[in-house]
Order: sequence, then C-alpha cells, then structure tokens
Amino acid sequence: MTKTDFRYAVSTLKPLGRWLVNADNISTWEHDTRTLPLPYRRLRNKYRTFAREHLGPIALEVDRDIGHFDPLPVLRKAGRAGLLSEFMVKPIGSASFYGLFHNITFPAVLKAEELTSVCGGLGLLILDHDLGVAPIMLSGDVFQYLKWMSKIAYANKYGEMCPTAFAITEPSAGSDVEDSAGASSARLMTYAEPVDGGYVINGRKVFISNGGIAKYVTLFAAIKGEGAESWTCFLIDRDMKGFSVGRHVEKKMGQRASDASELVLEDVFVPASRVLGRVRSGWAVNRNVLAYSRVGVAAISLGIARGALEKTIDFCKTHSLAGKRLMDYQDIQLTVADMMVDVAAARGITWQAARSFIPYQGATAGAKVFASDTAYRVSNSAMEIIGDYGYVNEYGIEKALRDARLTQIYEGTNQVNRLALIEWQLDSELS
Amino acid sequence: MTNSVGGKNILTSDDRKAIEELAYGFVKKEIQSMFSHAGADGDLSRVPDILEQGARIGLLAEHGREEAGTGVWGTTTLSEGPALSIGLLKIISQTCGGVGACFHAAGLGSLAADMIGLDIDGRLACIMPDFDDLHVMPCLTDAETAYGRSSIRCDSTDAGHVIKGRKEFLLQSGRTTSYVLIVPAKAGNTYAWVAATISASDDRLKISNIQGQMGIRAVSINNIEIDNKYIDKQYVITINDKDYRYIIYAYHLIGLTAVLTGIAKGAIASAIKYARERYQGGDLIIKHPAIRFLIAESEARVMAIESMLEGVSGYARGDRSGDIRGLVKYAAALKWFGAGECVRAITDSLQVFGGYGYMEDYGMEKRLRDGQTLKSLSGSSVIHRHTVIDNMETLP
Ligand SMILES: Cc1cc2nc3c(=O)[nH]c(=O)nc-3n(C[C@H](O)[C@H](O)[C@H](O)COP(=O)(O)OP(=O)(O)OC[C@H]3O[C@@H](n4cnc5c(N)ncnc54)[C@H](O)[C@@H]3O)c2cc1C
Repeated sequence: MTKTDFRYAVSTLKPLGRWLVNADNISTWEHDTRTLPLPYRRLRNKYRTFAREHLGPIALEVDRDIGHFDPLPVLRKAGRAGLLSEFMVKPIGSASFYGLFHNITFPAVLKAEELTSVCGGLGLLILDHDLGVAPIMLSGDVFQYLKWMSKIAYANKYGEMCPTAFAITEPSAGSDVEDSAGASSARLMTYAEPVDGGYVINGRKVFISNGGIAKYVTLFAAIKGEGAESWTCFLIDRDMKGFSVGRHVEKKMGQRASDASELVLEDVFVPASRVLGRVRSGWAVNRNVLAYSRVGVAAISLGIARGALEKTIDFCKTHSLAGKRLMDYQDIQLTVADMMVDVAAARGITWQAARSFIPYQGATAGAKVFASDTAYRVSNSAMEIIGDYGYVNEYGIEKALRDARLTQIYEGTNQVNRLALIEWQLDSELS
Repeated sequence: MTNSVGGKNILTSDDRKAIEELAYGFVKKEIQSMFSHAGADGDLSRVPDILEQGARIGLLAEHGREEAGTGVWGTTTLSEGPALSIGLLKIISQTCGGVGACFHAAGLGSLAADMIGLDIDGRLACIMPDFDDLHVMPCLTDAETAYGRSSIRCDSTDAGHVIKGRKEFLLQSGRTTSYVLIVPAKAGNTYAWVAATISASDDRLKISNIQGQMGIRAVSINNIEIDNKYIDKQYVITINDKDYRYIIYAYHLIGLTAVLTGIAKGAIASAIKYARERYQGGDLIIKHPAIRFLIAESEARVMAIESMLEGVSGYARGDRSGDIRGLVKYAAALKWFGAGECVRAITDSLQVFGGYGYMEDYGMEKRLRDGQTLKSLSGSSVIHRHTVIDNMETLP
C-alpha cells in the first residue's frame, strides 16, 4: 500500500471522518449481503454453502456426462436441506413466517443466484421445482394449496422425493403461449375434453425442464374446441395412464443437468379435483406464473454471470505471464472491472424487480432481458480474457457461456419479453 | 488451369468460379453427409478421409502435391494472396467450421514450408512460438527478444541445432505427419530465426491432445513438447527475411476469420430458411420486425467482415504488397473485430430458432460452439488489440 492509497489515507482523518468512510476490505458479495435484512443474509449464506458443498464438486462431470447423470441424489440433498419446500411454512415445509409472508420472490432470487453461480444446470434442476409448484400457489385455491403443497413439501423434505415440472410449451406454440398477442392465434395441440368426473387430455408438450423426472406436472391445456383463453391448469401425476415421456433428454447446449423432455398425453383421464383453480383460468395463472418466474430467470442469469466472473478472477489470480499475475495487468483489470459492473447492474435490476411483495410483468420481463443479456456478455468477456484456455471444458468458462445462452430463450425469448414489458406499460406511461 | 505471367501463377475469374463450384460440390458430397446420422459434431471419424479427398481434387494445399496449388493455402497464394483461400474456407465452413479449421491448419503448414523452401514431403502443421508476454507476439519481434521469451527455442552450434520447448493450443488437422517449426535460435552471441521440421512420430516429440474442447471438434487442438531434439545443420534454414513470419502469422488470423465468416453465413442461411417456415404470433416469424432485425443485423455484420477480408487480400497485390506491417495490423484487427461480429451474427441467428436453436437438432448450437472456440483461438482479443496499435503507421 502506498501513502496515496485511499485506504492508507483514511488513517489521517479525524474519527468522525474515518467513520464516514466504508473502507472494509471485503468482497462485493459481502458488501451486498450486508444490505439485506438478517433473515435474508442467513439464507444467502445457507444457499452459498449448499452450492459450494454439493454442486461445485460435480458440476463439470455432470455437464460432460449428458444422459448418464442420475439427478435424484442431488435432489435428495436439496430436499433434505429444505430447498424444495420453501413455499410451505415450517415444520412441514422450510419457509419461515417472515420469509413466506414478507416476500416469497426475494428468497427464491437469492437461491437462484447462489446455486447457478456454481452450476447453471444443477441450479435449474433444483430451481425448476419452484416453477412446477407455482401454479398451485398462484391459482388462488387455499384448500388445494394446503393439500398439495403440504404433500409435496413434506415428501421433499422428509420422505421420497417429489420433484415437479411446469408445462406450457407445445411443438407449434412456444412464444405464442408466453405472449398475449400470439395466444389468440396459437396453434395448440393439447386439449382437455370434459367427461364424467373429470377430463380426458390428449396432446404433447415439449422442452419441459425436469419433465423426465417430475412426479407431478402442472400442465396447461385448452378445453376441446376452444382456444388459449380456455386454458386450464391440471396437476398431472406421472403414473396416470396414458402419460409418457417422449424424447427424454433432448440434447441441449448447456444447463445439461436438467433434462428438457417431451411429454406425451394419450387419453389421460384427470379427475376434476386435479384442476388447479378454476376451469378456464389457466391462461391467467400461466401469465402470472411467468410474471414471477421471469425474475427467477433473471437471477439464474445473474448467478451464471457471477460464476463466470469468479472463475475468471480465479484464473487471473493464479496464472502469470512474464512473471506477473494476469490480475496485475491493466488490460485484464479493465475488462474485469466491466464484468463486475455488469454483474452489479444485473443484481440491481433483479433485486429491484423481486423486492415488491407481488412482482409485476413489466419489471420482471425487463430484469430477465437485462440479466440474461448480461450473463451472455460477461461469459463472453470471460472467454476473451483467458484466451485459449477459455474453450477448454476444465476451466468451466465455456460451460458458463453455454449455460448463459439458454437464459435468453426460456421463460419467453428476450424478444417476447421486451414485448411483454411494452404490453404491461402500454396503458400507463406508453399510452 | 492457371496462366503464367512473369513466372507467377495467375488465376482468371473463370478459374476461380470453377474452383468454387468444385468446393460447393465437395461440401455437398463429402461434408454434408458427415452429419446424416451422427450427433451434433458429425461423424468425426470421416474427417481424415474428407481431407484426403480435398487434397486429391485440389481443394487443400499439400506440400509437394502439384494439383493442390489452387487449394486452401496452395502455392497460388504466393502470387495471388489469400483471396482464393478465404473464399474456399468460407464455402467449407458454412457447413462445418471444424472441417474448415482443418483445411486451414493443414493448408497453412504446407504454405509455410513452400514459402521457406523446406524440401520435405508430407502433411504439415506449422508451429510458431506462442506469446508469453501480453504485449508482444514473439514471432513479430526480433530473434533476440523472441529467444528470451519464447516457449520454444533453438540452440545452435557448429555441429547442429538443438530445439526444445513447449507449444500449447496448436491447431492441427489430425493427419499431420510433420511439423514445420519457426523458432528463434541462439548461436554464441548471435540470434536468428530458423525453420526446421520434425516428424510427428519422432520420439523427442510428445503430443497431447486437449480434452473437452468446446467446438470445432473435427480439428485437434494439441500441446506439443520437444525434448532437446538434435537437428542436423543441413535441415535447418535461417530465415533472414522477417516477412515470412509476419505473413504466416497474418494468414493464420485471416484464415481463422474466413472460417468464422463461413460459419456465420451458414447460420444466417439456416435462420432465414427457418423463419420462412415457422409460424408464431399469427404469422410466419420472418414477418416480425424482431426477427427481421436479427437477421438483417447479422447479414450487415457479415457483409462488413467480408469487406474487411477483401481489404486484407489487397495487401498481397499491387502497391500494398510490400506493406507487411500494414498486413499484420489489418489481420489482427480483422481477427479481433471480425470474430466478435461473426459470433454475434451466429448467436442472433440461433435466437431466430427459439428453443430449437438451443437443441442439437438444427445444428445452430454447434455453430455457436464452433464460433466461440475460434474466437478465443490463437490469442485473446487483448493481444490482437496490442498488435494493432504496435503496427500503426503513425508510430515510429
Ligand atoms: C432448455 C429449455 C428448457 C425449457 N423449459 C421449459 C419448461 O420447463 N416448461 C415450458 O413450458 N417450456 C420450456 N421451454 C420452452 C421455452 O420457453 C420456449 O422455447 C420459448 O418460449 C420459445 O418458444 P419456441 O422455442 O417455440 O420459439 P418460437 O416461439 O418458435 O420463436 C422463434 C423466434 O421467433 C420469435 N417470435 C416468436 N413470436 C414472435 C412475435 N410475436 N413477435 C416477434 N418475435 C416472435 C422468437 O423471439 C424467436 O426468436 C424450455 C426451452 C428450452 C430450450
């Protein structure tokens, strides 16, 4: 430290002046954590510890081993740690009253960042369960919430695993089921026909994350002869007759620990008691799930970006050129600074969108676009900085880039999310 | 096929057209079929055969093989510059960037041997010393500086030369029989750049393949280590003219950018096709401004890089042919800037496919992996930007 170094110069100040300088020698992660209320600080620490202990050591291996990876052991660990039961209060679930009734989105965002900073795929594997159960909460039926959430949360925490998945996408309706304008002309192919005591569903869903392993799927189908406005949400059990998983592991570029599967429904009888919320309220439920889950994808993106940044910093601290650490070159410092700024900005927009008790579509769609574009940009910078090492799997940086790329596509492409933001604000500042 | 003017081979525009037609036919017959039943990266076991066919019909330079003069980095490059190779690499890489990179790597080794006048037969890979200082490419510096920094060097005595060292991330076609080494050498107190060859099966040469590369999996990326290889005096050539090093370095960057441009062109063509078939939002997606802009911007990016590629070809002709520093500056700028633009075009084209782009089925994720790998290959953007400023004319 030189005498002109800010931290050194602080010692020359009077006590009050010194007190007004934040010269704590701590990481940005620690700085950010300090801004949170105590329960969230604890949660952030808990998620980070879990990710480092249980996901970090297997992340690269799982990515390479596409098709052979058994996700249940890691899901079980997550379940036992309470990561798959956070929408139900203790002792059945693992949410505190403060957490559940203060804001359910913010802890989910903290969890997503920590898990995906270590591995995008393993993170998705665990986080997708929250997406799967979201329609049970958001359909607004308290009895169903108590019945199903208790059952699922209990099974995940203490019993046999009960992962869930969320299914809206169909082969010829992807963006159309994420967007109001497209929905009216969507070419749907999954229909529910009313019969005595329930519905018979036929059709196909594609790209369903964790679809190959989920015990329950919250699945949306139109009433036969009607369009997307008749969408109804059903709780499908994988053991129902006529339900099968088609292409189990769709080979994808990244986030490989979580499968993206095709679900096939052939004359699946679903009792009326398995309709979540009201018949024909599914479209609204779907859109509200997306309004919540898009900030989750923003947080996943943020985590992946942070992971790429951390790996780059690690590399630059441990590799030298001409006897000097990479981290000490100005060239490198300039890019690392840009990456840190990018990650901080993504965290800012994500936390802001997740802070309101009920998040709204405009904010979460905007956060999703910004954070996912940031994740891709940051992982690109990471690859650029470390040059040839960047494309070698063992450093984890090319994996971060592959993982990041998905965040610009799912939960609505970034184009569709931009339009969702506009749609939401059209009657206010854009009118 | 070629006319001889003043002892140099000159290609007519008809010749060029015929060669490009040949390349299109070759891609259709040999390269597209690589992907018919295999996974995303194609049937890689077919690559050696594809290269052999390419060399046989004259699309790939192979040292000592007459018919390959007009192929990628063939001897016509010496008279005409890189334009033909750029064109061929683009055509091949539209279907597979990995095979394009193989053609580039194999051809450049052969060209290096031709330029230096090494008298050997075989399928060659070219090795230049890598950088070990952020601000200097040793191959572009004087021999003494390079000797002090390079990871491969040569110690010379009256009896012969001993070469030792290690080179990482060497792009290789996978059928290499010999390596062309261009390394700094020290003899007593004097320094020089020398060229030599070493057989791939030499027991002083250890080759280890990089495992788990992100893309361009048709090409091998290797680390090599040379353990005090003694080479007899008569097999080592002192390169007094530094232009050789500069030109090979520049052609390497130009070739990589041509491959990237080809990948981007292939990606855009696939995106347009898909956008004309996919129906979403009440219409074919090609009608939505969001998609039109993605494709139009990608096309504009590629057009810009193609103009740069044309521009850099100009350094091999007319007044500019002696401006080697200009060539190096241009090539470094091209690789740094061009790679960024091409990869942007590829990723935007992938976006047109929505979720399908992320899956293996349409080959778009492979294009992105290939593009990203090529972007990082042979020096980070940090290095290239330094090379640009170090070679600006206004600097002394
Ligand atoms: C790995 C993975 C996991 C997934 N997980 C799930 C899951 O768990 N559950 C689930 O239900 N779905 C899931 N999805 C589906 C995902 O949400 C869709 O892929 C996404 O919404 C895009 O739909 P699409 O793939 O059909 O693309 P398309 O809708 O066909 O889009 C193609 C292109 O057209 C553009 N476009 C479409 N409509 C418009 C318009 N109106 N205006 C302008 N541009 C438009 C899009 O931006 C895109 O660029 C997953 C997808 C992937 C790849």
